[in-house]
Amino acid sequence: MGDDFRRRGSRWRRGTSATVAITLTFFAARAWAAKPKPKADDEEAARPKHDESDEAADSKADDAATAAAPPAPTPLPPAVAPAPKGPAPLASGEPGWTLGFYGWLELDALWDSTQSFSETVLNQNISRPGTYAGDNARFQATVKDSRLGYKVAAPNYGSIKASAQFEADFFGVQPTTVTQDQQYTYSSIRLRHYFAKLETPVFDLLAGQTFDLFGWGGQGFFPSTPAFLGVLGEVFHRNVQLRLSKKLSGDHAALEIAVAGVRPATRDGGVPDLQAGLKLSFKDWQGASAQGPRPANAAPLAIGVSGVGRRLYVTDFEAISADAQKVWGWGAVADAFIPIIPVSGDDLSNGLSVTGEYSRGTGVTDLYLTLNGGVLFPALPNPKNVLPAPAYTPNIDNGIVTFDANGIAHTINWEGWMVNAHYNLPFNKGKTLSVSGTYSGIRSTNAMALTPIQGQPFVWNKGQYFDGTIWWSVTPAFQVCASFQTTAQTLGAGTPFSVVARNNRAQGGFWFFF
Amino acid sequence: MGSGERVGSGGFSLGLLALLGLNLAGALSGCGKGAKGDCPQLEICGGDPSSMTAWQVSEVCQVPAFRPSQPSDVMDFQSTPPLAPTIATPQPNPVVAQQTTSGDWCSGLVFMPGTTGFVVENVNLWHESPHISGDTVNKPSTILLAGNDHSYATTLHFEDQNSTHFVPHCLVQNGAVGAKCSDLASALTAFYTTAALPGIDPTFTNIMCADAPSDGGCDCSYTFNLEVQDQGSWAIDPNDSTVLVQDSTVLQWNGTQMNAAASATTLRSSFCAGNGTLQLSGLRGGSLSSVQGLRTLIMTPMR
Repeated sequence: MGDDFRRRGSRWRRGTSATVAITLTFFAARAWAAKPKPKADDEEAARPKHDESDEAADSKADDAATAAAPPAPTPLPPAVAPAPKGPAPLASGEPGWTLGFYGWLELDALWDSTQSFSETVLNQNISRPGTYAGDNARFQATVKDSRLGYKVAAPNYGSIKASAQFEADFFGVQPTTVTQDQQYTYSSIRLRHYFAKLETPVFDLLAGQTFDLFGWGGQGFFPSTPAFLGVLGEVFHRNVQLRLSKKLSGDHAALEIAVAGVRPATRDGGVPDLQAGLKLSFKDWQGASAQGPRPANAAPLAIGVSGVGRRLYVTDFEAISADAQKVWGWGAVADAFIPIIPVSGDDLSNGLSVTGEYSRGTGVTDLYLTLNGGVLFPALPNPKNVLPAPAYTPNIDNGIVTFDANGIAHTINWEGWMVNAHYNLPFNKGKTLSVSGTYSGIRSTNAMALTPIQGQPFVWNKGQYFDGTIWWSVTPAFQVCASFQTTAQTLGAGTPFSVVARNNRAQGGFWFFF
Repeated sequence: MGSGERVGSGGFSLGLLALLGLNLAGALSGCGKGAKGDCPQLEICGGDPSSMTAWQVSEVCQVPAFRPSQPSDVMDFQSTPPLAPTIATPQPNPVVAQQTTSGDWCSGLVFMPGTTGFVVENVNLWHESPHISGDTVNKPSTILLAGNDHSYATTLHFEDQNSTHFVPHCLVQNGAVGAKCSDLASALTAFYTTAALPGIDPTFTNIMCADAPSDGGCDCSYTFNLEVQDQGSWAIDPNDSTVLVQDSTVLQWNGTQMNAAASATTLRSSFCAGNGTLQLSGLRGGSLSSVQGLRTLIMTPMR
């Protein structure tokens, strides 16, 4: 089935590859043309000194350059100062380079009314009521959300700035054999951000892993909540990407446009996902913006729209597949940060801000963290009752695509929304006490219809989430909070055996920011 | 009686959260329900549960039960094994440890031409977690606790109405070309009737199939029947006179020995006998007669 579009796929793939290559070549040529003629010192300064692999590859060239170009006798401005000689690592205080650490230490005390989750709730499935896990409570304490990051900026190369950022937490994947004690105290590191950024007068280039452009992650549209992001129905995802962006900034407003090639949901599609976005901010309308557990800062009113398109090549629904089935996924999301009661300057007193998001898409389930709604692949038909029964081996994660009764691949539709309000009480310039609340939801129009009846009782196609939090910044660096969060998922919605599974969570959080 | 576990889990979280100054969480931690679902706690007083005539179930509280995970092999989906009184589970994927399928679109149907018409050689009709039958005349659910030899005999009748949709290709994939939905209904009925043991209702009865206007397949409705027979000896727990202990030596589902599938051979339940009623609750939210989800029974003497 689907032979015609499979054959067309290879032709399309060649066309897409050519388009991507031409686009990259175009931007590279523009960048080269815009780049100022480098001086000898600039070239030296621009050479990475802290990357051992690069250094090994270019060791001879480095030696020659070192011998031919001794340090200038008079000091130069830091922006064009020559880098010191010698191998990595980059030492603190090297001329022209800046390096800074940041992060926080966090303790979360978590009480749940069910035993559905480890530390994170996100979009994971809640245990059914009437089961042991669904009816009994759990308490956890964790420091895994603590962060450690650093930023590095190289000396300016003419008008070009190069920088990099690294950030990690401790939610790394642990082996399934881990004990409960080890699970909470032997945490493994997880890469959150690892990217390099090149800022030029023409455009900016970001290469590495960070938040997706889809949803403008990390750009001021997160809710103020101690819940581990993303909350139910919120677009939240990090990915490996190559992003081109351009920011046009005026006295009163700024416009940023961006496009990114992103690691695809299925590597067997042969092409990257494409994301694009547009963000508009108004500098004269400032509000208190608190992102996740971070204390609020003044930020401008902002509106963002973004989209994603992807081609999914899914292994055909056979025990031994031949051709793949091609389906298209897409998503669109609108974000807004709106100061209802604006703030001015450094004083956040009585600042009331709302963050909102609406998203819709199909075949983009992975961009809502841990979401699958219980949607799995069906079992292969076994009409001859052979043992062992034939098994389907997918080449894509669960919940993005599945097969209907005729073996045709379909993407799963999801529609999500989120509204968050944050208010800073008028003490100490609004920086001591604040409250926040979140409502979000998500639903699918075809998750149930694309699941055989045996699996339907285990699929939830409608979910809602509420939270409320009181924040207290004891000092500018030390913060505590108390929060209540409730999540409900309707299993088998629209069927006679529909049941609502609910988890209530009480959370106490402690942070030391540095 | 359930309450011990609730207090234990709630007290644990309350203590820690109070230690952390989380009054909000502390207030919530008292809301745990134990493992009893929405079933209320019955009276627990002990007494003498034995009787000359059987106790007949007059009230019941069940929670929709499902097996905690998909079965680890596909034998449950072959032929006509006794089916658990739980929501039917999706067919497993035998090549992965963590089960990952959402079931078979054809429900394992093998529908093909036979010598005298169309026959079904295999099918796994889906069913919900069944309820104790309301037909107290033809399908009474009873428990007899003999006082002389301390033997007991429990009979529980479960049933439920369910339906399954078969898409066209499921009907013809084994060569049943030209078959009508009524042919499928007849073949399904014959399949389950042949498999039933003497004196026991077939697992699925009242099977009716009609043309599905949506895609030309068949919509089949049916009744799922399960008769649970549980026999053995009983005693009062010497350490707790409100706990009934049953040693289950014979457990049958629709006449087939199922002791290996039972959650336990020693059954423990809280009880209160008196004033012409017997009230049974699974100990600490456990199940009665190894029927998952069957939480409490209120019984009166059978007339």
